[in-house]
Amino acid sequence: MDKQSILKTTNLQIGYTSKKKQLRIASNIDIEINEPKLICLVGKNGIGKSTLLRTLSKVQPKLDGEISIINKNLEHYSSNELSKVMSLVLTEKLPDSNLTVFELIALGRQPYTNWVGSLSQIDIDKVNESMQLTNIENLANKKYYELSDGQLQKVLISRALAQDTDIIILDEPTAHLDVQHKMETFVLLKKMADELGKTIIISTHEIHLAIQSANDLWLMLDNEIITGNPQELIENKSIEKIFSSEKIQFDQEKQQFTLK
Amino acid sequence: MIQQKSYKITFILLLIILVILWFLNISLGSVSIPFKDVFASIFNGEISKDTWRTIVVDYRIPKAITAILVGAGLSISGLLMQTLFRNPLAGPFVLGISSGASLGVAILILGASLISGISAFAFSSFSMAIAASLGAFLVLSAVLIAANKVRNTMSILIIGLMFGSITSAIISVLAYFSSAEQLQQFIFWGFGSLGNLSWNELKVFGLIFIIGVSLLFFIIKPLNSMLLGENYAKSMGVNIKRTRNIILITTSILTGVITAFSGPIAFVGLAVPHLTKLIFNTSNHKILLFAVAIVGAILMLVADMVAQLPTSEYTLPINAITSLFGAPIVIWLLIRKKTI
Repeated sequence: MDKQSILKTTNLQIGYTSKKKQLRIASNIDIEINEPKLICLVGKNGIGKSTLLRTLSKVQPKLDGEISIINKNLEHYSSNELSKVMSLVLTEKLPDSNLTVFELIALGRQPYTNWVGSLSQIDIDKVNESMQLTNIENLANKKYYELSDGQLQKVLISRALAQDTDIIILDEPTAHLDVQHKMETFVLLKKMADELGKTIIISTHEIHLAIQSANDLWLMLDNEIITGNPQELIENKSIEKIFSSEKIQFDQEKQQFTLK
Repeated sequence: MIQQKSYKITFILLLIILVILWFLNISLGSVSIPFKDVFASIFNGEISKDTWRTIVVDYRIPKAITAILVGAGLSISGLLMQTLFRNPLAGPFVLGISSGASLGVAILILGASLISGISAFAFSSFSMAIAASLGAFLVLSAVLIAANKVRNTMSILIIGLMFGSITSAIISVLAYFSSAEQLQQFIFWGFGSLGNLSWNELKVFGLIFIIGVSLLFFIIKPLNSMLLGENYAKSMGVNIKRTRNIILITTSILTGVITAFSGPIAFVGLAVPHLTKLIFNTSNHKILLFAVAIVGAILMLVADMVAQLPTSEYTLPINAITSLFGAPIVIWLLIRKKTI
């Protein structure tokens, strides 16, 4: 009998294809998630974190290998089916529009609404629920362009929650945020994983916060991805491989990188 | 609890204004006809002069209906372009789509001399509509392909302008080689006019218009999610390719048929969605699509009344009127709001 697998990749190769050649960014990626948890993908700039997340979420095509989501090949998902198991929070800037916070979050209900997108009572409840969880009910009637970066991030997370999926993928959700909002975001994501049973995959540069809150880290290195829980990776010194610079080192006690 | 506004009252008010303007529009013209007789001719009542009935029924009513279709269609196209290209300054005229439609017509009218024998077919209203729609489709597809390569919104506008220039240049070349008579016909068409349609042509116009607009019902929901950008839309289950194709086809049909029957009309498609958003403070396409159609129709009726200079026998080119009003509105919008 197959055991429950939330996400599994086999020999995955990621990168970009242009007309003539393939630009391979990473290969031989074998990762597996079997239970809901918070996973932080860390690695230096340009190593391919975003590319990996974009490939896992079918925003861009893989080069080779297999991805399976909830025991089913990603290729076999229609975009509507996928929208019910996986939601996204992206780094891209939203185009200008007049959407209010409520309307923006309600768009997350689209996979479930009828052909003109009318909200049922269930949809409205879900939207309100996800606003409560992220603590932004007071913003509901504001236009989204009036929000600060920290508030907007919560709104986008709230939208992903309203989409009611088992998996939520977030690309650098804490970039542009101040320390307080960074920490709050990690706490919120942790809560979503622990209490709501969501599988949450984020890419981040906040290694210190990732160590404290993640169930698992995925360390993206030049030739491989090492996975495991943070303490394990610190003890076997894998975490030190993230950066190759002579000028920084990993401080075991403080659990963060410091200058030499 | 959060209330989602339905704007019922605003809609009813706008519809009343539309009906009043429609009656005003058919009551005004170079021949002054008393209100009583205008009504009589519409409702088949007793009328003082039979020529008045002919003027109202065969000339003014088709013109007023044309104005409504043109205003509504161009405004809908403008809204679709602005959502598709995520660009507040997009519109059928700016992106060169109207020029594409003109090119289709130019090839038909001016190119007819090159291939003799088809001229009888060439000037039927139906073939004009098809040629214009094909021209619009061609340019819009080209802009869309280019837009996929460049993400920068300003570049997309400039690419649209360039395609517009290319089509204008081809039209100039065609014009150079055609006879004075054909050239005159083409130039008059280019001024834009709402008043040249017979009832039969209007039927063709109306039918094509309804086909174009009815496609929109399939994409109200995807249009809303496109407000967050294509990647988000896709992650919410939207079939981007299908949505984009429907927008492409609808816009080509609407812009094409409108341009064929009433000439290239500028600024309506660009300005009306912005004016509408001043009244309807929403981004929901379920509301906006109807709203821009009504506001567009109202403005076009007004523009037409201005163009025919009440009580004078002159009619100004409608294109001049929409540009005279539209351009300042766009400038004002840009200055008033830093981000539209």
